[in-house]
Amino acid sequence: MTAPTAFTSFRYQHTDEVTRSRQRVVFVGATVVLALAVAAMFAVPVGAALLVVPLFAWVAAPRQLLLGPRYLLCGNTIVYFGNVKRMTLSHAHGKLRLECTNGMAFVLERRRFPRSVLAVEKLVKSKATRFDKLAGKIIAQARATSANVVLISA
Amino acid sequence: MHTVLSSLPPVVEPAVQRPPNLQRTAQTVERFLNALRLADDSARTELEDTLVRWLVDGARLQEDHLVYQQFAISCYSRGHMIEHYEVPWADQTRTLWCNARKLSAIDGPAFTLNAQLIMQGTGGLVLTLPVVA
Repeated sequence: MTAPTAFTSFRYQHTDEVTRSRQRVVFVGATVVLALAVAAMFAVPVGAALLVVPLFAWVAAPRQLLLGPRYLLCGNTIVYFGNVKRMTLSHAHGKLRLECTNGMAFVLERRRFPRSVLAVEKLVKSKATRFDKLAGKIIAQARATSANVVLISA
Repeated sequence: MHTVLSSLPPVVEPAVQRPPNLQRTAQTVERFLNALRLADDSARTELEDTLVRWLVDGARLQEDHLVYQQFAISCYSRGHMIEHYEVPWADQTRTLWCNARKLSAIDGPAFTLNAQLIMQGTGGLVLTLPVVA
């Protein structure tokens, strides 16, 4: 066996369904069972209150973009850097468009970086900074993987 | 110890399936192609993309799988071969199997003669990305 591919994760509000990790699903299941057991054995209000934990864990699953060495994953989308033939970067619109050889296109949008994360982490970084950072990484990965990729600044 | 999981043709009624996890599927296919010692070039990436999309397609069943044998990868759904890709540049003499979640070597003669999937595990397979010299 080998170590799983290392991904860098970025919070990103894609429109696909949230993917919950196996650990999160197990945790939610276990805490639901625990809450029901407490409700049955001790007090219903306490058990009901405990249900807040799995509910929060289920709802709080983050939407993410995962950046790996050979491909990125965003919701139901996978983009192999080796298949990218053209990248169009528009700072004005805050978009990076990746066009693949199979005709598929993926657009990274500045507006989809969550604002709430910035508030929680009290970071001064703006969405633009986050967009620029991730877009730069994607461009670098695609260039490193595919020699023929073209970058266009719009 | 070898385990006979199934034999073809397994005629089963299609059931409602949970869509496979894209990340896990991508990693499984990546390891599958690594085991074939396919270099990380455009041909491999294109094939990898195709195989991952095939496995995560909404029409797939959990038992749908890929089989590598004798320089070709075949996509099996409901016991029938749906797609077939030649990979003459592969460097693997064993027969390999993977679905969206797992990877294993299988008994080649048993698969060829009886369409049996006898799992042999990943022992002896090199699952890291081949390094280009």
